[in-house]
Amino acid sequence: MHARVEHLLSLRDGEPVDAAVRAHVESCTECTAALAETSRLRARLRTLPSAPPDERGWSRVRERLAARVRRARTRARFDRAAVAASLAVIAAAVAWRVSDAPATHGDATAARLVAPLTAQEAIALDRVAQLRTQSAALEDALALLGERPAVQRAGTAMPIDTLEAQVQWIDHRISASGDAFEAEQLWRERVDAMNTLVRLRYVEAQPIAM
Amino acid sequence: MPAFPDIDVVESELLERALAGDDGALEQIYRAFERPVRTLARRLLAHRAAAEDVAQDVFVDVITRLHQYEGRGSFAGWVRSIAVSRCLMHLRSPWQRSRRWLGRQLGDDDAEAGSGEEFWPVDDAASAHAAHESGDAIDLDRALARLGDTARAVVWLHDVEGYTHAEIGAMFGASASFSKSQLARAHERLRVELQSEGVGSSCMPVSSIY
Repeated sequence: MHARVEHLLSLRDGEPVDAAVRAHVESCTECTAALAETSRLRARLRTLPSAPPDERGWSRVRERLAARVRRARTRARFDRAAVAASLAVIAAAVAWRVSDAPATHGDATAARLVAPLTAQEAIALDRVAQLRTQSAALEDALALLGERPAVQRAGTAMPIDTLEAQVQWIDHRISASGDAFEAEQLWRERVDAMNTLVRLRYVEAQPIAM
Repeated sequence: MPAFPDIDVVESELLERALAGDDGALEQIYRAFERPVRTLARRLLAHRAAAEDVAQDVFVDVITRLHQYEGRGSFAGWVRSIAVSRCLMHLRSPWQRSRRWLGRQLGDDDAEAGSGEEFWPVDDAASAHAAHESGDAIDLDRALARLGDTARAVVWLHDVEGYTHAEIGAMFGASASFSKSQLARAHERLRVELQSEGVGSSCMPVSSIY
């Protein structure tokens, strides 16, 4: 019984190996040769050519850095706008509730009636709206693919079933979600799952070569 | 295969200048690590476009996180850890995994590792001897690219980059044994692939050993 590759690699790397295995390798010409082969392969891996310098590499990195700064600035502007918008919504809601509330309750009571939307919640709700739009577009794409074929591919049938069940479960959780942040997370998961589902359904819809 | 150069950024005041946004210092850091980072990404990811993309992201990370480098351990080790993390994140990304899977289903060579993408040409200054050996490197390059993502990453991180099994296991959220078995699998697959490529004429054919 010759030594396994795992044992040979441990011997090569100077790691502890069962004494019987070590003794066998030392006395067996085949195993000794195989051990030498593992070292040779490692040496060859280490001498593989490296990536040549990319003349435009540094300028590409700088472009990415600049893009990241631009995105951060845009996000900051968007955050400021979202804060301003949410403050406007809060002000409008307060004004509406105050005017709607019985006069005897006073301003303090009216203010308590309003659950103000935080800036973060306003941003999360905006993202939810975007994700819902993406999700609807993916639903449309799925509808275009039509019914599932009568003969299904073994490789796609089970993942598709799993994803469909996953989307249903996400829908259930969305219906029970309590706040904007949870809703955003769930809609994000739904878009990811739908994305993969559309791609798998596309593969499934291709004619099977006989 | 270029090692990660051990630049002492603290002593050379390079870090200070880079932190101050000195373009020359940032470029100097990029130039010092360009080849090892791009080589690591290319070997771990196999898909050239993805590797280039990830390598650029690595430098964006290095530059934007420079202030986080505390001087513990070498700067090269810090850069390498960012590069490895970025590559493994890419491999683990559900989106990338489904993309690769989809590529296989659609027969899209470009989406799948080991599809015979062009290897890097040997350096211009390569000697005639190196040119003779380049055929050997090409076959090994292809064999490496045909390995599964995990096996390829493990064999490169262990045999070339010198990470221990415990470190690699931790990177994959697994044990050292996981890394050992993946390494053994990679060696077995490489041996088979290289045999079928008819490589290693200068060595004893492995089939005669076993």
